[in-house]
Amino acid sequence: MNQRILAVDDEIHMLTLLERIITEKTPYTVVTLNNPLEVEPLLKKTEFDLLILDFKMPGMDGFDILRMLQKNNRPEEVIMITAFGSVDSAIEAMSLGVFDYITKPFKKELILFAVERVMRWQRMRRRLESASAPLHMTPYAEAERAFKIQYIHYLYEQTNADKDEMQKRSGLSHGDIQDFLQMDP
Amino acid sequence: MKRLWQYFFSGQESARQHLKEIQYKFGRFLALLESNNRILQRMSDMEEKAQGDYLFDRQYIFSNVSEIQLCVQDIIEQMIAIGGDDYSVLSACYDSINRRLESVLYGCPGVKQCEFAIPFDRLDRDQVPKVGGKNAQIGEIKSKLGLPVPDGFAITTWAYKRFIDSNNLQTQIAAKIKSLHLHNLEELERISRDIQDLILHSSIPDNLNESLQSHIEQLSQRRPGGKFALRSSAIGEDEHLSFAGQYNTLLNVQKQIAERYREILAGKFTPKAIYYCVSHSLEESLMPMSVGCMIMIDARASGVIYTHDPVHADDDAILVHTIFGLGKYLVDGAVSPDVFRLDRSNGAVLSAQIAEKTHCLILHPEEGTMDQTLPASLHNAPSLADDQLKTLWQYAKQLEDHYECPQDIEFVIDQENQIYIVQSRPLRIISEKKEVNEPDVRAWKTLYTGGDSVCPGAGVGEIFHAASIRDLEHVPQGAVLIAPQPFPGLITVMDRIHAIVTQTGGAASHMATLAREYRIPTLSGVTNAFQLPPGKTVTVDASKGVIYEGAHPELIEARKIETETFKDAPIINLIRRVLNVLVPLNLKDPSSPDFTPDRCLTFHDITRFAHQKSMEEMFSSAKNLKYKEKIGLRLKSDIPLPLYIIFIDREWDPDQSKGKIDRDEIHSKPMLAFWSGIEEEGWPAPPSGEGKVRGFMSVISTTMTAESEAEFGESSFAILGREYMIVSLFLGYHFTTIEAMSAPDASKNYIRIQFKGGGSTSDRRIRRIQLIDRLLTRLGFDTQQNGDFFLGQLTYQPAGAILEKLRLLGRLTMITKQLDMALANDSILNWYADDFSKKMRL
Repeated sequence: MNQRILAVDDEIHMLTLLERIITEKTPYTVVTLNNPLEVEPLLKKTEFDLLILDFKMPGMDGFDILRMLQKNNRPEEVIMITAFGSVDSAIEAMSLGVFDYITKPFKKELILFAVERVMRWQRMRRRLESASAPLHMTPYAEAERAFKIQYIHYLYEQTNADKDEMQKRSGLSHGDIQDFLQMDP
Repeated sequence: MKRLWQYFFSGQESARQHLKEIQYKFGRFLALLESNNRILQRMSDMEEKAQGDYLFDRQYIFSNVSEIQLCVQDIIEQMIAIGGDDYSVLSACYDSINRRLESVLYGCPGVKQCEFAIPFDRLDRDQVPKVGGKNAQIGEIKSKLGLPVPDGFAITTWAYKRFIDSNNLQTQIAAKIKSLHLHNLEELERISRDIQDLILHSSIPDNLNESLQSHIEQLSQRRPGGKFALRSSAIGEDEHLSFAGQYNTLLNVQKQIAERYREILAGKFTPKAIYYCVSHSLEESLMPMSVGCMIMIDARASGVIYTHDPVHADDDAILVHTIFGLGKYLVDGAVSPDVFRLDRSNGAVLSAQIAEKTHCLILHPEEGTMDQTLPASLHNAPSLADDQLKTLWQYAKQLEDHYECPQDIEFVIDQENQIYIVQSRPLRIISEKKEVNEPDVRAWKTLYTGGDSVCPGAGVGEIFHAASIRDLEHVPQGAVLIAPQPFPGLITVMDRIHAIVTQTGGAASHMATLAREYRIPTLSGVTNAFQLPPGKTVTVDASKGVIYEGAHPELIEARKIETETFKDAPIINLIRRVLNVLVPLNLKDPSSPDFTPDRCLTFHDITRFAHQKSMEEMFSSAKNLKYKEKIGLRLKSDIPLPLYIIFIDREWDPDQSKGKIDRDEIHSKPMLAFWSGIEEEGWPAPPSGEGKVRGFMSVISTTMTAESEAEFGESSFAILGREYMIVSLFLGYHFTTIEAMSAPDASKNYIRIQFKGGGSTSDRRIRRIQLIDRLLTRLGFDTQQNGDFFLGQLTYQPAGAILEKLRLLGRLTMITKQLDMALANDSILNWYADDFSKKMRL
């Protein structure tokens, strides 16, 4: 699945630089908005892995968006960018659950490392969520079925789609493997 | 008796006043050095950001520029306080440079009066402020290259201003924007609609209307058909108004051109644009708009040429994308185009990828455009013929040659197969999406790790040692230059060296900015740089602070790629244009007759000029200090030299009854270092001259002049602060003045030494100057000499290096005190030079 980033900054030049660096140096898709008021309507339509937010924007600042994300229980992580690198705002940002905090101006590598950390975390989180999903299912047969689908998809990756090898390792029938692979984990 | 007391006290009072003056000037001088320092740091920081390795916003540029402006103003104020009103000419320089700076920063310094409309064939790219980028380029293509463009004219920014002013729209728009509470999108959209309505319902002033009608009529006479296209052409689109691309284009307008002109103007006030104004505190009036009105081409086919493949940088082919009908479907991505790859050298078709095209956009018989289904026979037919491709190839080459960079060109072909160019703009080549190929350096031999990156990048070449400006004439092409510090003379070789490595000197020196201007990879703080053997081929990685043995050109490539991503980004262009007004140094040589305030073309020039002149002013006011004996304390010392000391940072005590001071009471670090050198060498006996010269006294008796007699009676004096000293020594027949600053910040530090006179014959005095010149050059000084006058200067050294050099200068002062007597010929000069170098371990 292609991981996606939404970058929001009232400074269009900053967005241009962010878009270029992310597009050219990472495999992720980036969407940019120069008006923070457009963030909420956009999030109603789609989901991102990461929001890169400017701290200070008229109308709705980075913290406002962060609070909105939390209120709505959104899955997006946030990297906050600010020119005001004061300790207070850094602490406040971190206490509000910001993933990372970067002070302008910053080196290209800094944002690339931060983006990579978020994306890796999001991939792990997804895997963890889907791995633990069967635990919350009832009755047991549902949970077992969900687990089996996951198990087979994981095996598929591990064996590089070698179905004979999957059969050998799992002891499951060819038909089972075929059926469960059709289902979404 | 009473009169005697009065005389005594008035003398005291004058002395006190005089000291106060000196202290006042010194305070100003320190403030000037501080501002000088801050300017250099800000410039250096901005230059670093301009290399393309950082992300930053306009605010960053604005805040740095504003600090630099304040510091330059401060420097001018201090300079006038130190040197008098002669320096107020710098204020005029400041104003003129500042005007250029503001026009770069804000793009549009008000709309200038001109005609309401100008035909394309009278336009060129210099007229962007009047007609915006798009119109000016169309004019340039027509008037300079003679390529076919649709006939038409530009409605100028002056017309826009006339329209806005005559309807008093500015105040109304500003009031609406001001009333905006940015809480939600709806509010923003409402204001946008309100402003657009306001414009649509405003009347076009008569004279503007008449002018537009007259141009339309002339156009219609030249090109009958009565169909036009109107499109916006924004001002300062690149650096200032990035949202400008959203503006409107109206195709196939057949009537009421003036009304439709208003529509284009209204289209400027999108919610996005209004938000941008609010968030950047921009006055809407700073963003005037021009509109292009051209004959509507009834397009049989349209397309886009990329004179380079934008994503495969190594592919040398020219790409032509075309569709049937109007180009809108192509730029919107509604229809897949045919793609032709043309050989750059001869225009031959290398490959043709013909897409399936079922629809096209055509002109509506009344107004606007409409969709049309293409006949089946055209679905898979090429949209261009070979001869048209050949013509497009020629145009593409011409445009690329003219603009000297890859171009993104839009063209239209009419029903009679006539080709028109409708736009040409720089094409951004995206570097390959691969990771930067960091070379595997594990097998390379590392000669040095560390240092500070003054200018990033990598350079390969043979090591060349340049201890001073004198060595520079022998610098070979493509050398890696090793220097003690980035000294001013380096400028003379910057066009032929591949890298600079210096022992000292950080990123914020005048010369460091030159290295960056010339893009020469420069590494400083390489303490043992001179241990790198001359002639050895090395690769300097100035980005990471490593020097490798041997040539590794792949590293040059790798370091270059780092800067590619942001190449041509508008903000990078903006910062570079700003730096271009701030940084280039035109005043390079203080001894040149061109070193005058009216030659200050950048803020850096003003800074450089004031820095130099303030040192000279301090030097001369200290030298000409009156009442030295009254306000000075005589230094107790075994050295038989009457030296009066004045403290610049201590209150004058009128009850200086003892009139003497111990060495221990001196708090001035530079003075202590200098004096320790003097004491180390001790008071010398007159030189014997190796038996080759006449006796000492006989020389004196034959060479003493009236002038030197006068000097003989002068007392030596020192004006001292904790980190500052100026010492004027009258040593028999010559005088030496040494001034130094040794602050924690290297960019404030300097040593300046002046040497004149002597008791011997002119040739011998000159030989002594030559000897001093050689020794100081080895110490890294920039030197100049004129007869028996000598001036040496050293800047941007850490405090430790300054103190060490002062100690050596103390020794040198004693060693050379009466040496002129001994220097009867050049071989004796050479002998002394070598001997002293050995003694002083230079």
